Amino acid sequence: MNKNSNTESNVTVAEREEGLQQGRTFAPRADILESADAVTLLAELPGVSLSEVDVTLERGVLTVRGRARDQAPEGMRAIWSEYEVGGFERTFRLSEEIDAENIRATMNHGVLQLVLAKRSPERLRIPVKIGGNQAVES
Amino acid sequence: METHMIRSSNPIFGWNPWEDLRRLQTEFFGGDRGKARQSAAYPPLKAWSDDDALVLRAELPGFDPDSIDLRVQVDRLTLEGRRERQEAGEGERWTRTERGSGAFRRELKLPFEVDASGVEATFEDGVLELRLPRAESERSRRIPVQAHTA
Repeated sequence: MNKNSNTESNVTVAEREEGLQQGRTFAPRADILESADAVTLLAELPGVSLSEVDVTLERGVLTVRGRARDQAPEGMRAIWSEYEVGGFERTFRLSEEIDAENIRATMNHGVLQLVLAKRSPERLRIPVKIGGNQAVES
Repeated sequence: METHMIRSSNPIFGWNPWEDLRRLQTEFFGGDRGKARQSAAYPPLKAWSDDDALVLRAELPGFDPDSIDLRVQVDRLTLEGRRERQEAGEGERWTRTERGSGAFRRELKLPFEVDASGVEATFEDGVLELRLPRAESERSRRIPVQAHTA
């Protein structure tokens, strides 16, 4: 489990390339539940354990990656296949200010749950400077 | 239509022992299906076999193992399950709902008769794995060829 708010962009690209070399990458299906103080994301990552999940939040972009185990039963012959096993990757742009240091991740039967706490409004307040004839807000 | 899609998505396997029962399965995800990973049947399956057994895996993320019901009879397997989306509480709302909810039922004709009493099932990281041993009657018997010396 890696939670990093300050990932170098070249590191992100390298991981992505590696993922593609190892097989197909799928976008996990997701549900999002929002409340006044948190965003809860549920993403389907069947076959992925929590240790194989990587979550990053950088400049409001949340990226979820995972890799499923793909081990055929030893010595057996494949006779049918309706799904492919590979990597999962999806990015979400977060409109609310999320506290990157306060993300809780749990895995429940192949579903990743991320609870992203919103920053309290007080910490978001940016002082407004009055300079010359213009009020500047950011 | 459904049968057709599944068959064409598996060009490497020329043989489909379950084809005739596909129409019996009920829709689980309705119109919401297939946004990310397309498959007409739910749950999607993989299968392997050897002289001793059939191994089936099904992706069932988010299902409680207690909500999954398995029945095996001779060469028929029925898989049923249910999953509900959690109700949004006070001051909460679902802003994205891509994951399906409700019940599924999938009935399969297995490629051979199995020993129902020897079936093993495990559920790990949302993947159900079944190991179904071949019934004794299905096991191939090795018949020694005796050299005949005149």
